[in-house]
Amino acid sequence: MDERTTGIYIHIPFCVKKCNYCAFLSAPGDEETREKYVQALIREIGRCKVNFTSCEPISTVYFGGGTPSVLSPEQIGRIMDALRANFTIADDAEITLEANPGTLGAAEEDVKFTLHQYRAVGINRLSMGVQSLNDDVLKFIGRIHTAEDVRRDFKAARASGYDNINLDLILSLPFGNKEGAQGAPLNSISSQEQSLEDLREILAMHPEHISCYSLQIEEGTTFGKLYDQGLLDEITDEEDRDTYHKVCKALRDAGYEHYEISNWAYAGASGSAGLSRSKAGLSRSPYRSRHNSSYWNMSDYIGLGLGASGFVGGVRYQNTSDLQKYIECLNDPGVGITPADIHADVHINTEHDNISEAVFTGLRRREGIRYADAVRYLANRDEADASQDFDATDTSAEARFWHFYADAREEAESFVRSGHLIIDDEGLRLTELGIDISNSIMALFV
Amino acid sequence: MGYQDNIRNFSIIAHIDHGKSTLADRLIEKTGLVASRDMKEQYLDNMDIERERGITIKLQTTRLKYRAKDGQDYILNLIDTPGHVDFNYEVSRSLAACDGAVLVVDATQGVEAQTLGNVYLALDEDLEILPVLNKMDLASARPEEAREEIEEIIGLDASDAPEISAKTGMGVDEMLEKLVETIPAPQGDPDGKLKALIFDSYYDSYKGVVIYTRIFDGKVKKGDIIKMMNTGKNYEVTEVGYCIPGMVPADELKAGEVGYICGSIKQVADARVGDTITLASDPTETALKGYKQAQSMVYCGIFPAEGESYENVKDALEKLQVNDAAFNFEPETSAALGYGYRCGFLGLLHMDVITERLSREFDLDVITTLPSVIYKVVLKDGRVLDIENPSNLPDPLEIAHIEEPIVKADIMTPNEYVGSIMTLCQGRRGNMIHMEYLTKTRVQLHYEMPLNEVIYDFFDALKSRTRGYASLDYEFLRYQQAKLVKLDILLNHELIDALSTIVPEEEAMQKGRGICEKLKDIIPRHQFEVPIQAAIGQKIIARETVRAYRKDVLAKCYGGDVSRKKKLLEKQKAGKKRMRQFGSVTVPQEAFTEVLKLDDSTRQ
Repeated sequence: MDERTTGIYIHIPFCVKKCNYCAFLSAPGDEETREKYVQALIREIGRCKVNFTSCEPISTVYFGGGTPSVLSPEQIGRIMDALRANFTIADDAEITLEANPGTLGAAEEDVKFTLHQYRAVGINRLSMGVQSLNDDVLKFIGRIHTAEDVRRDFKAARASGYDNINLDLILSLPFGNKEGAQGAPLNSISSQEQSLEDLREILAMHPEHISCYSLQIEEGTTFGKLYDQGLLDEITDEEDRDTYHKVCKALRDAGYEHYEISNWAYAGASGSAGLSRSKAGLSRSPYRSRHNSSYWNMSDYIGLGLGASGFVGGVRYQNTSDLQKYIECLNDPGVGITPADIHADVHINTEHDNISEAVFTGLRRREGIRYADAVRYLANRDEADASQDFDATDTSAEARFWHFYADAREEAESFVRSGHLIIDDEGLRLTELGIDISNSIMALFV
Repeated sequence: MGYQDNIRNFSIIAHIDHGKSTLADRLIEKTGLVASRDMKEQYLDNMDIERERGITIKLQTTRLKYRAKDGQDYILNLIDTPGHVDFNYEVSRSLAACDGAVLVVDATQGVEAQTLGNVYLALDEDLEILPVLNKMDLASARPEEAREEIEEIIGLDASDAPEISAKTGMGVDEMLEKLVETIPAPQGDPDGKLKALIFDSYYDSYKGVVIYTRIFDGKVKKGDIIKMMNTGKNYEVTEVGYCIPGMVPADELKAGEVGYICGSIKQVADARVGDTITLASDPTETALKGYKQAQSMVYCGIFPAEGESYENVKDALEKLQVNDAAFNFEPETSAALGYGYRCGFLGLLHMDVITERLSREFDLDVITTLPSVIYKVVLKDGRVLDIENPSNLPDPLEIAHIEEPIVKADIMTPNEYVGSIMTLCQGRRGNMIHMEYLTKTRVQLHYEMPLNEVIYDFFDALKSRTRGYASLDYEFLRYQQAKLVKLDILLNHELIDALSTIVPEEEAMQKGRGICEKLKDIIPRHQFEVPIQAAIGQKIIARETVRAYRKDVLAKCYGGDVSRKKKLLEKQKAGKKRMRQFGSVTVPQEAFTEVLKLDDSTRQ
């Protein structure tokens, strides 16, 4: 069975400046708004507990954004205090802060000091949005930092005692096109060469964890507008996939375990002692993001803050995305809030929702989905569904799984033949090639 | 003075959108036979499709009571007519049941080709015509010009044509007075031998076929044995009555009256529009003139879509046929689409209506293939085959020549669009016979054109090139020899019979290219390359390739993404269900109808 955890996600919807590719719920906010938000968040923590009594102990906390590091260590500290006052946080909890280069201080000493303070209030993992290490590219995509800032901040983080750091990298960044978007970098190398160069530089820093995402140009972003105006060419699917597979290889060679479509964790030189090996023959890294893994193994997670999503006890919910509404309804001291006040969207998962989510999120992991983990959502089904075409005495997880997905089997087998999917007696998983077309495989199981 | 002096039997003639149904509503409302609260808008158009499209397909008839200024009560029988070129014959039979017609002309638009077509049909039946100017409540009404057009184009005196607004009810009373004055009373002989015209019929699951009829001479009552003079079949009358507009039984129907007859008749084909009813025991000698067999002009294949049952489709088609003598079908097999039916229709609209009813009324998911006309294929051994399915075309080596149906197409348009219409018609192998100026600004173009060119998207192209101002009327003229070839489409080197078409040899290359390009857009990327080829016999004349897809992956999926992502995957799965598998290639079902809707740009 999967390691099941309970996580808390806290959304901080502020940033210094919106990036050109960013479609997340985030905007620059002034100091006063940020403080009001922190107060509202603390009230939400105080009042929501009643809904989540079954969730303890909490094994992961994740501050995501936006740029959570625009909040001061003191503010993060108060939020952590509120969490500790209302939940039992496990001693070995993974507590991550997304901290963007350029937001932590101007000189190395300042950065070190700030990070030290975050550490003092409980943060023990950092996730840094590096994205690229070419200054022209960084400027073009709207980041506020330089490559030098990244190196400085990473060094400072190590010096402050952080031994679990993730670096984010964006692959397949566009450089405008021949018509030329204003400010496009005058690169002499291709997008792919840039991505591989960026990766080499990141590997040289030896982070414990690396996330690589292929850029998607989203509607409503600055890049989206440039694209619509014909000033930006998307990298072709062929080039992007080629880049991705080269990235996979480079990371594998450097000893990183590819444990999810876009996530890698350091597992040491391959075959090194002390690391357990999973069925798929992969070394299991101790540096996988435990928090993010909860999204892919159907663990509970509590979402707090503006627009945050949660999945608790088979219920998916999302908080309101309206900042004013969020602050007002939480800062009204007269009435206790009900989830309905800030939960914009609540969905009680059906059995079918659960199994299909378990399968498609599970397929994102390189170890795949085990039949046993999928079919536990089909409890009580056998008795009710002991039809003639199903041998009720054969109650193996495998049989129950394929009974439920009888319609999908033939096509699933065709993906096996084409080398995109592996099916064995424990479950199914994508091959590296299968990742490229993972949606069409996952769609069989929804 | 007989009872017939107080009866008026009439139709309303109008172009689509000129307000026929609205006027009928107003008349029904005015004459008080339907309570206002039961009035749905446009009472006569009682099929949803009709109401949505603003057209009338199945006829309705209704009996109105009107007290005129002379103090007398008149029975006004309003006989509805379908409003589309596909149903010319049905229109003519409805008109034959009348003694007069109200010609509604939109005062903002003037006379249109279709109006003209129906006026000629009415004149053929010697009907008295009362012109009426509608939409007078609109600021853009130009009654004087409309009057002039009626006089110049149709040759009717329109000087005292009532000015009305069917929408607001303005002028409708005056129109009714005028109607009673102008339209003659019926002159039948109630004591003569029964002679009654079937002008419509429909199937009722309780009563069997309900015949709408106009009695010309004699009487008919329950218990009579009636004889259909053209089909020769006899039936015992189980009920007669009036349509008010609901069915109200009566003791008898007699000369001059309009009403319905039921006789446990099992399908409408047995009570065909235009047939003459008489008494089996005492038949009249001569049938009424004008009877015609239903003639299908356009054919297409209808196949159950993926997951739909063949039996359900068959049941639905049978039910539709019971009610529609002009619709016919027979089983056919396609290598690509499996078991289905080849269906014949009066025209494209008729085809649209039937396929839409299959989905709306029967909730069926069907694939319709490209419409085709009937080709006469003359073989070298002298035999002549009627081919309505391109895949059945014999080997070219056996064919002496092929003939295709030609229609006479009349297009009426404001003069500024003449050039653009001529270009359009030329591109559709049209041959201009002549052109006349009906007024200073209004032109009628007479073309001879292959029906095949008219059935795809000609009407749409015409409308778009004239901003909706041109109107079209067409009728079958003759068969004519043409250089035609069968154009085949191959997907991944496999021939898809349901995509074969018959095209003029000189256009084959261009059409083939157009279809391949269109299919390239419609067919989703596969994990392998899919070549799309157009071929004549063994010769490949066009080729496109759907490139293999390389990427269908979502880079990020964190807490907030799960629900959204699941919806995306569900959508992807649902999209796939609407696909059809051909060997290893998956094709969306709409490909079969979309493929020939080529843009104007792909034609000359």
